[in-house]
Amino acid sequence: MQNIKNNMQKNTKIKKPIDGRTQGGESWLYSEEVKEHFFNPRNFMRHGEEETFKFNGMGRAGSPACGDEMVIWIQVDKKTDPSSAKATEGEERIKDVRWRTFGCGSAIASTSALSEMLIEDGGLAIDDALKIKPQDIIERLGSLPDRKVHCSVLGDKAFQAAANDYFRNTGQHDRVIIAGSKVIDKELKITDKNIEEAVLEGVSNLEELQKKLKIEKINKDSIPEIEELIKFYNEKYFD
Amino acid sequence: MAKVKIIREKCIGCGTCPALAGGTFEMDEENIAIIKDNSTDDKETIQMAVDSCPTQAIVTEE
Repeated sequence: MQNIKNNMQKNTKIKKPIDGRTQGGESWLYSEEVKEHFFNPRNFMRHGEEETFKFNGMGRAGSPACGDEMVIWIQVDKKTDPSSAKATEGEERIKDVRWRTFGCGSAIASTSALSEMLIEDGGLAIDDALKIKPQDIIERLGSLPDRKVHCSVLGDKAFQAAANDYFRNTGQHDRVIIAGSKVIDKELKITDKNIEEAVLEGVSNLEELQKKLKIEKINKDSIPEIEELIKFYNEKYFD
Repeated sequence: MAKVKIIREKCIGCGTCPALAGGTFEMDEENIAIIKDNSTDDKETIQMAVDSCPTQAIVTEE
């Protein structure tokens, strides 16, 4: 009896026990909306569809902690005047989107919901789409358990990468948004992450990198560091 | 405002906290979350980021 009492006292001393639900251990149920998206994902890239799907932006995101991976493809209506800095009303809308993931139910549901938000009502303008926060996705899903919120960030990040890819594809290097990586070339906004990804996709020298990132001329000052990183990542992954 | 702290060793760089509360958190060059000097987020937003950290690397200081 005394033992049980001791154990009980022990338990109450743990301020925040780690559990698999929420931080507070409250609700861990999925909303109806989450289940609906999980069982019937919208705009999912089906097997073999990537051969025919037309897109001008592709982005990848992944969290090393859980082995998740997310890829998003977007088709954006181009500006009629590529030289103008800003798209006029109704331009640069996201016309179509596909995604695919290695992730869990929450990642599937939240990216499915995000994909709906991107293309409904004739498609969101890319600048507005970039303003979507994980909170907006969670709101649309009704809710997500706390511990699953980070899964919704995956789709969001992959979309940002896809938007950056679209900006590069259309020569708008100044519009590329950088987050969480080291900038190597300020003008062209090339980051260490860009180089790492390029190497993973087979780039082994400067020319190939330029081709991959659609860069015509690279700044002389950045070349040594870029070449160094290409070498570094090639050794890291392929030696 | 609730004071928060990041345990660097626990952070896995998933980027959830700046995505939820960009006025308070950002990722540094090593892709680890850091706290900005002047937070512009409300208490609820910060708490949401604290609760959502997959490794519980953000702690609230009482």
